[in-house]
Amino acid sequence: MAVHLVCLTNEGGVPLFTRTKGDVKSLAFAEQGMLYGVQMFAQNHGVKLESTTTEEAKVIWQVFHDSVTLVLVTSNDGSCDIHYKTLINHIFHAMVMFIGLETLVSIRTVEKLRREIKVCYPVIDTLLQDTDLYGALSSSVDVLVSAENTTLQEPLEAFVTSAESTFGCLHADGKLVVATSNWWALSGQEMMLVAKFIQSLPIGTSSDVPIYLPHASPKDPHRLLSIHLQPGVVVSVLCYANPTLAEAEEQLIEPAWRLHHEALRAIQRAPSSNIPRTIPLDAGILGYVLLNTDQHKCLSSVRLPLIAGGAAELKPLPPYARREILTAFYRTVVGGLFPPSLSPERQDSSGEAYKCLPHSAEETYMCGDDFKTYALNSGGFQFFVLFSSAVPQYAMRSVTKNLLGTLSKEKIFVDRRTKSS
Amino acid sequence: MDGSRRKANVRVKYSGESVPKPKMPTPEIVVDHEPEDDTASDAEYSDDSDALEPAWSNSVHKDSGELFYLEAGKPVLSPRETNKGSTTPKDTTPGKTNRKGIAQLQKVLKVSKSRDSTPQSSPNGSRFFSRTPPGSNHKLRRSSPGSQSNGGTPVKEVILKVGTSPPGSPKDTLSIRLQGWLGIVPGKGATDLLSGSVMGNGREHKNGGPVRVDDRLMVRGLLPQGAAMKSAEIEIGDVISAINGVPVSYSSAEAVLNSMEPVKQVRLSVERAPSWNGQIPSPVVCRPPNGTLVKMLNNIAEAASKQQDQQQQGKEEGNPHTSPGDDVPCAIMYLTLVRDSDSDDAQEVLYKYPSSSASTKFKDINGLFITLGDMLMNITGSKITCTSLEVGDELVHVGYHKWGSELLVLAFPACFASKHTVQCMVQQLARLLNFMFLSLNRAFSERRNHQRLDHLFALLFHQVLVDRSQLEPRKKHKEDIFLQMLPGVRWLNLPDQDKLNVDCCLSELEAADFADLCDRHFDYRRPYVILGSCLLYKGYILANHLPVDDLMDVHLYVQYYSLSSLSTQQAVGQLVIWREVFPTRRVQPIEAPHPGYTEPQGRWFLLIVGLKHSVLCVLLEAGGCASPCEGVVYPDEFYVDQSRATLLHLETLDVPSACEERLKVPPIPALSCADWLFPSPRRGSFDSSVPPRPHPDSPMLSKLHSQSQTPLKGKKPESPHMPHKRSSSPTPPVSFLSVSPNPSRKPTSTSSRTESDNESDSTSPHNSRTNSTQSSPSTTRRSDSRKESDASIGSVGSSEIYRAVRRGRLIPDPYSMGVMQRAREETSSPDYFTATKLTSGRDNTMFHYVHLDPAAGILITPTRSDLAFLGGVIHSQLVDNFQQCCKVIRQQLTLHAHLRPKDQLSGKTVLRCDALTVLREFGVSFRCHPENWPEKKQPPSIKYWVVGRLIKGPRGPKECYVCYHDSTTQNTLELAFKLVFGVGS
Repeated sequence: MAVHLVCLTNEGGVPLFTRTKGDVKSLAFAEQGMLYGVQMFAQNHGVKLESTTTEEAKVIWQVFHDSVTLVLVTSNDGSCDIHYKTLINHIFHAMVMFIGLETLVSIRTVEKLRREIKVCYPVIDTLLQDTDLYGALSSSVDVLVSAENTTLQEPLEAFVTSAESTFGCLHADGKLVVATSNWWALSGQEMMLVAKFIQSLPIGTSSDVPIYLPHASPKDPHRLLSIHLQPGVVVSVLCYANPTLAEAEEQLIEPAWRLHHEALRAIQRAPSSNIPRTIPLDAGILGYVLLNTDQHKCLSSVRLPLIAGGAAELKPLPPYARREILTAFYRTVVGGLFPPSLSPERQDSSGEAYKCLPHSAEETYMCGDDFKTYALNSGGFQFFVLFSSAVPQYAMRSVTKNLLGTLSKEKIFVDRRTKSS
Repeated sequence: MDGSRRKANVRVKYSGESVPKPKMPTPEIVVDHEPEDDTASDAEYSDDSDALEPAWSNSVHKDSGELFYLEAGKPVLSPRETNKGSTTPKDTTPGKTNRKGIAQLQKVLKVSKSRDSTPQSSPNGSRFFSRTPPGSNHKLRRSSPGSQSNGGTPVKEVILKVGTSPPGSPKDTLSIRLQGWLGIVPGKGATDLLSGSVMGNGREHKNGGPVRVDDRLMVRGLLPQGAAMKSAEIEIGDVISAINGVPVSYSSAEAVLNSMEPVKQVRLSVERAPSWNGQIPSPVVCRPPNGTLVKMLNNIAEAASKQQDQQQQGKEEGNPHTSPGDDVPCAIMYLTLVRDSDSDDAQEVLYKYPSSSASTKFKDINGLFITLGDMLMNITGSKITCTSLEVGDELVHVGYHKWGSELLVLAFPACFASKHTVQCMVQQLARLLNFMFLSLNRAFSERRNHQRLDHLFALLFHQVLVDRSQLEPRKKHKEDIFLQMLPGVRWLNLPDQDKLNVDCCLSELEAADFADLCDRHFDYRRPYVILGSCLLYKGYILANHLPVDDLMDVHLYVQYYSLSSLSTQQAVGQLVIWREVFPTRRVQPIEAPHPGYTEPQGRWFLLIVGLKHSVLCVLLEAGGCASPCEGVVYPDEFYVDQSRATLLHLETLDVPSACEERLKVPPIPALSCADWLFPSPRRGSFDSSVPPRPHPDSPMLSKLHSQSQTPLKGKKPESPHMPHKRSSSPTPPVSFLSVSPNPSRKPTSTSSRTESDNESDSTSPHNSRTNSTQSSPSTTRRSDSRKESDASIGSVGSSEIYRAVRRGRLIPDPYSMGVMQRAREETSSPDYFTATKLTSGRDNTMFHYVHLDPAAGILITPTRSDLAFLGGVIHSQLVDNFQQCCKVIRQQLTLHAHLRPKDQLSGKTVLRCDALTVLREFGVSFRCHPENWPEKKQPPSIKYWVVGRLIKGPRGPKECYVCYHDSTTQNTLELAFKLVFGVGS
């Protein structure tokens, strides 16, 4: 997947930055100018240019707050515009998160902004890249379900309280493990962006950066302290002036987490299925994505181990292929058939293709030569499962339903918010 | 009097071939085919143009030779009613008596108007070669010699030698005598009182104008070897006033001839009009203005002569009552990239429509489209297809077709057409314009085309904007949105007998074995070769003898000119379309040519002739093995007539009524209505839409089965024939003609004729030639016929059904309780409907289906009348949902079907990502509730699946979409396959 991202000032079209991913040359300056120019031309004629499709690619324009223009050129997979819009929206809010809305709305010196904006690159790059995580796609935060979830809640609460805050969470490999109830009150996009930022931190380091929560406090920054407890396991807290990073590292970590060393180790070694080994998985399942659309949680894995003798072993699919298929399936179904889960504050009608259908879709499946997929939409959950092509068609439905039944009963995945609220 | 009821149906024996031959001018030679109840070809209907001057001749565009003539039909009466009491004893004369006469008949001459019109025609007046505009025939008009108004008709005496000695039997009819003795085909005179022109054959018609049929004896045709032809003194249209000095009329001629002894010479007194030029015909155009569609379609004729202030569409002038599109931002434009930046902006827009205020916006931003198209080509390396814009507060989708540096742009608001629809539409339009004008550039850059384009686009915008906004509640057009985008034509599955009839008729027309066109007889190459034809009835295709690419071209033309909706909505009086076309298959060949064979290069012409609900499309080729042509080519009356004759012939063969019957029977294969699955709420109004249920315990055992079981009685005695039929079908050449006599269908006289036909056929050495080695213009035809015979194996059961149904169709109201009860009593063998039910189990769980075979260009789906039959509020919603969902499904199925080879990678391109590369099947399940459920409880709901599947076939994948109830467990496979291999193909 090749992606070009161009960010310009809406007035004057001065390029702020460009990012290019995939096996393509970056855009020439003239091309960037033209991409901006057509949009500006339309704007001057009172027309808003939204998107353009070619046989192979898709171009999305979006102007934020009449100040920043983002242009995204990416591969066209035939899915709804909503997914491209979501991505471009994430990118802008990632910029807001680091720079603040005010700076972006009223640009004073472009040169200064260009320098400041560099801090966003790691997060933007992760957003543009293909990952095994489906949080960005579904505007929700990736979570990890493990037996230790309940054990770790208590030390987290203690740590966050000692840091004079109510916002705190624990991430493992970019997935949220536990969080305080206030943290769960953030929007899915905010949680997802913070998770992406924490994932981008170098392993073994601690950081202290001011961040603006794009929806909760886009104008006032908070300090986000992130401290690695184990490689890949990061505890974060949002706080004001106190404590300093050094204080937190030296005085607060030790009392809260010392007793839970084993639990943290267990989190770090969590199985690649992202669910406890106690939950049985059908041998034909190669990957899954489970969304809690009310709570903006996303549980997914495309690295399910092949079970010896299972149906999936006959025609194995490499993880990258599984990820691509599942992503394409998700992008096709959501928006086209299932309602997308969006941040409530987003207002655009591009994702409403599914509303053309007079009846509501509940289940769907696809069969290809080397895969089968099945999706369910029921009761606040959207569940997408990738099967090996060896699985017979009649089995998919019951297997999917059973697994959804099991997972949706997992208190760890469902309960956090209800318990807190 | 009886002559007016004769069938337009003549048997021709020419060089041993023995096939029924349609003849336009209906010489009263032999009545060959007698429908048992005389349903067809009543005079009310036969709006043929038997006048010497066809009614459409004034509509021919003088510069281009194109013709678009449409005449609205009269209010439809049931054929049975209009024919009551018209059956004369003569009509039912078995063909056998005349068989001998036919056999002697070497050739039948066409009786026609405009005979001698061609200046370059041969001395004896053969005029088949004419490519002059029919309008120029005015000077050659004949007036009626006998009519009192045209005094001074000269009478000349002609002495003819009697040829072959006539049999002399006193029972011989007038026609046999005249033919045998003199080679004259007699007919009754007729006068069109409006134009004063002589009509052929006593057909009382002519654009509704009054016509007087008189009793004069008129020469309707000449036999090639006959004495009259040799003498070169007598012409067609002459009136014989006396024989051997004895004054004769049509009715008295027989007696006069009988009274004569066999003689060597006969003296005829012949009357002929004095001059052929004085009579400029008053254009007999009476078009009852029924329906805006007719008006809009006719617009082209008016637009050619008048200015556009008469525009019915009203877009141009802002006509208040018909201008919903005025404030709707929609436009079609053809843009070109002007390199000189200093030149005027307007030059970039080569064409634009409409000129409403809302669409001016698009003209203002045309630079945007051009730049986008150009820029994205550079950046992404692929052609631009679609843009979404927000104009005002309205989301607008813009579809593109990029052709070189030019760009065809079509914009519609999102509420009228989805992005995918706009994209498909613009591609179809581009193909259609290429088909009509050779290239987009030619279409748009030549100013004289603009009026025609205006007309086309007015129709398009009307279809999209007006129909969909006004008729939204009926949901009919929404349904068509999906079907329109498919590369296929809706197919109507007819009983074998009728399929055979249709195919035979079309084959005959395509064989172009017209007597006048015999190369041997006249020294001219025929002007056109008929490449193929297809027959549409109410928008359903009945038979196609065209290659699939050509069929798609023609289909697009018919569709975008609203001809199918026109012929569906009303009976068309007369429709004649003629224009030069550029078939995609020839102009932009996709396939590599076969080694050692190249298709002949020439010019191609599309001829569309419509009559009532039938539309016949014929593709003609000039050049190749026909004579080449140059310059402007005007419609060839002869071919128009022949096509029309084919339609009339089909009418006598009962094909239209067979179609009607087919459309009236319950859906085959059987479908269920979603509403039947819900228990009726306690509300009276709801009940009206829910038909009463015969089996309370099993709502799905629908009455539609029990209903169609009525004719079951008649089926039993037929069963001995069925094995016979089956055994004969695998050998196509035999089965093609040897249709087993079907007592339920034909009266005994006809079936015995059929048998005798078979006998003569099997002994004829030309039999095989007729069937298999006929010089068919395409191989598709042959495979089609084979396919049909194959299909007949699979669908014997179902075709038996409608055959039976049509006979015993006593069901005026499908929901009449009384009929159903009786039907149930009579029901004895339940195996009858298992043949049509696709799902297994007791209940039928299939709601809807669409099957598309792109290789054959055929689309099979329940007919509109099936949907009307099923009715139901929820069902119509369900069908609507099905269509919408199919759009999503198909997009995915086809998106990944045509992969680009990966070696085209260049560093700069942004490639499409193709994870779901080989998608075979895509299914979605939905849940629906009845609306306004009156009871407090949770409304009941049903769950159903919509499944689309690609089925690999030898000629590319077929697509199959099925909608069925959730309780069907894993029946999809069975469903799909039964559909494809059973009734469907």
